[in-house]
Amino acid sequence: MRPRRKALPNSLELLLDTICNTFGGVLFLAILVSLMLRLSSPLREDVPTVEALQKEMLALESQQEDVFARLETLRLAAASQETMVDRFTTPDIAQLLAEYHERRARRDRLMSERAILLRQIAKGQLKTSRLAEKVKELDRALASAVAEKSEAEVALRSELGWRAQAARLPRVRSTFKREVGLIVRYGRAYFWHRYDRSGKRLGLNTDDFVIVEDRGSHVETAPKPYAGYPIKEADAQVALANRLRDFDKHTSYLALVVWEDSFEVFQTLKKLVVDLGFEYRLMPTPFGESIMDRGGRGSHVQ
Amino acid sequence: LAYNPAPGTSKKAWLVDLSAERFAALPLGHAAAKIEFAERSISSRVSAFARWAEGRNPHQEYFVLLVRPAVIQSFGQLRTALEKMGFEIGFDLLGAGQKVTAPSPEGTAS
Repeated sequence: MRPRRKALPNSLELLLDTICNTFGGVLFLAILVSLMLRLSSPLREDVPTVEALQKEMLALESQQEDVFARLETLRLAAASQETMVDRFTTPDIAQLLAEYHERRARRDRLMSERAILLRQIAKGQLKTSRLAEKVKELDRALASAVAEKSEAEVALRSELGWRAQAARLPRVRSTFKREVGLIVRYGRAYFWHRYDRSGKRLGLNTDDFVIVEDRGSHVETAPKPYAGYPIKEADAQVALANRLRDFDKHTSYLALVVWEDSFEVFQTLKKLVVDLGFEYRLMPTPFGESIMDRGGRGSHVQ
Repeated sequence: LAYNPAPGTSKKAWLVDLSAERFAALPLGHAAAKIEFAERSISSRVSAFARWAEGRNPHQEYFVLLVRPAVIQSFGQLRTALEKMGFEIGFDLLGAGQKVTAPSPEGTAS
């Protein structure tokens, strides 16, 4: 036995179903659009109704009538006052009134000018106080400059006293004292040899000199640029003076071999040597020239 | 540097500034004109100075030579020439930039 097949709906039912669905969708869309327009349109809320507008218009008209009535009252009052003034005012009073108004206007102008002048005075006072401060600063600077000037004058006098020297009548003379060699180079003074306490020469001062070349009969030496006594330094001057005091000025003289790079400092060294009472033999030496030490005594000193 | 005459000497002193540019003989404490020797070469300057010194009196004048680095070599030549003329001399060393002042006849250098 074959199962019975379910009967298919006919085409009319299908069409009706479609039409109903479409109509329902359109209806739904229409309701949706209507709701959205109602909710989203602000103009709809702001637009007053005709009734409200009419009420507002009536209220405004009422206010206008009140204002006009008040204005009319004021006009009447003003006219009444003018009438009263005309009635009681004499020409003298009118003139006085005019003068009063003129003086009042003048007073206002003067007050305005006074305010401007007060502002200018305030500015001027500010400027004056600033200038006074500047004057005080200048006074302080002047006092400081005067003090510096007097200090500089003292220093200058001292310097001049130091630098001014007697060009003594030179007596280049023979001496039989023992020679102590002092090399002056790089602005420094170097003892060429070592000496014991009694002044006896012990040999080359290798603390301050290096042997450049040994030629058998003699050695060539050079001072170390960082050793010796830097003549311009006060501490070094004291140390050099103390070292020189180990020698007897009555039995020793100084042979000052001054290289051309140290002429500037020679005056300092000369003063130190002369103040200690030493005679000196001066040997200005150009670069490239050698000084030979042959020992012995006797030379020409100043 | 200011040089003043040594007290107690009757001789007139001349400071002779020997620089690379010129030699200048400055009278020290007596009225005389400053003498300048501006020959181009140092050797010709030495010769000119020696000629001028020949006219001076070694019994009444002496020289103090101020030696600057540029003229060390010529200094020996000048010194020898002056000693041969019978002048007493002394000498001093100055740096190239150091300035020398000689006093007026009445006063002292400052």
